[in-house]
Amino acid sequence: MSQKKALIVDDSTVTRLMIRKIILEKNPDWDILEASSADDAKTLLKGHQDIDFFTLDQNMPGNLSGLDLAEDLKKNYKNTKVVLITANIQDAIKNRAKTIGIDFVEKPVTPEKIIPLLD
Amino acid sequence: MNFLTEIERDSLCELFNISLGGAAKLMSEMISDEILLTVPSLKLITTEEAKNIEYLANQDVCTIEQKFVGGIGDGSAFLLFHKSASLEIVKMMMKDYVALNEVSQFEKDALSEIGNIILNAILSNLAKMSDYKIETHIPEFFAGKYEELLLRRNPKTDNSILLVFIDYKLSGKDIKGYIFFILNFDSIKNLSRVLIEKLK
Repeated sequence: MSQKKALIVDDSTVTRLMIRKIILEKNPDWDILEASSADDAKTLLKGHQDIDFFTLDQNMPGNLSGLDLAEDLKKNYKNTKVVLITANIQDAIKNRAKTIGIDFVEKPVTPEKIIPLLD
Repeated sequence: MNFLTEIERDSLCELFNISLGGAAKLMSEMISDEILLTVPSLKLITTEEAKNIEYLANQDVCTIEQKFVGGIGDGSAFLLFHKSASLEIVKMMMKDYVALNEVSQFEKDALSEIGNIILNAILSNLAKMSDYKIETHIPEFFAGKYEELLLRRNPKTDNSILLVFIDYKLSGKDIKGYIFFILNFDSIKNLSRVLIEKLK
């Protein structure tokens, strides 16, 4: 069985570090990739198309938000779990996440919020 | 100087009071400690008056500014720590994630993230209660003298600004911080009117 991969997209090093640690404590053999913006993530994905789990920050530098990237990803990764991580807990964001068909987690990230999504 | 009526002031105080309850819970969750908040002390003051606030003047501070735009008007929300407390807060947040001797490397990023979460929680609640849409920008970190913070963002204008100062204190620790908002007077007045209408 091939090694599972997660891609964490967040401009905050601290949040990436936390999510990385949470995933690896549950799944020590996973390969964790990181990007600090949606544009960086898209570039990185050209070399890694076999991603099993995405976490996307909503507000990042650049033109694309987490939701914009999620919409894009859902076209190519139909059965992959995509999770939006957001500090901006307005209903409009939650509703758009539901329409796109992705999960969302309100910051701060904690193991209790992330681990159930890994199964 | 512009002024608010008693009912306008009360409605804004109530709004910030409710919003802060949720924010305090989030911050407690992030740093695994209890946060004690004071009742918001709402002041309408000018930038010049803000510079002379006794417990902040001449102090080294770290702030995270969250600019926002929307129906409520354009403004900024700030989370402010005395510089001496900032590293302690980061240690509390990062203790399970990095070695203690590495904590200082993450100071700016960790404080920005705390600010992002806290200020967004307050602004989201504010949007919900007022039925206004609010869009927030990426948070900006500042470290330096408190006066420089005010000078660099509003060097010339002397419009009335809203300063909702909320002191918070970590239970059992000598760490205090502040949350405040800057909005022009018309936006403040408009927000309070919307709230009063909703309360009727």
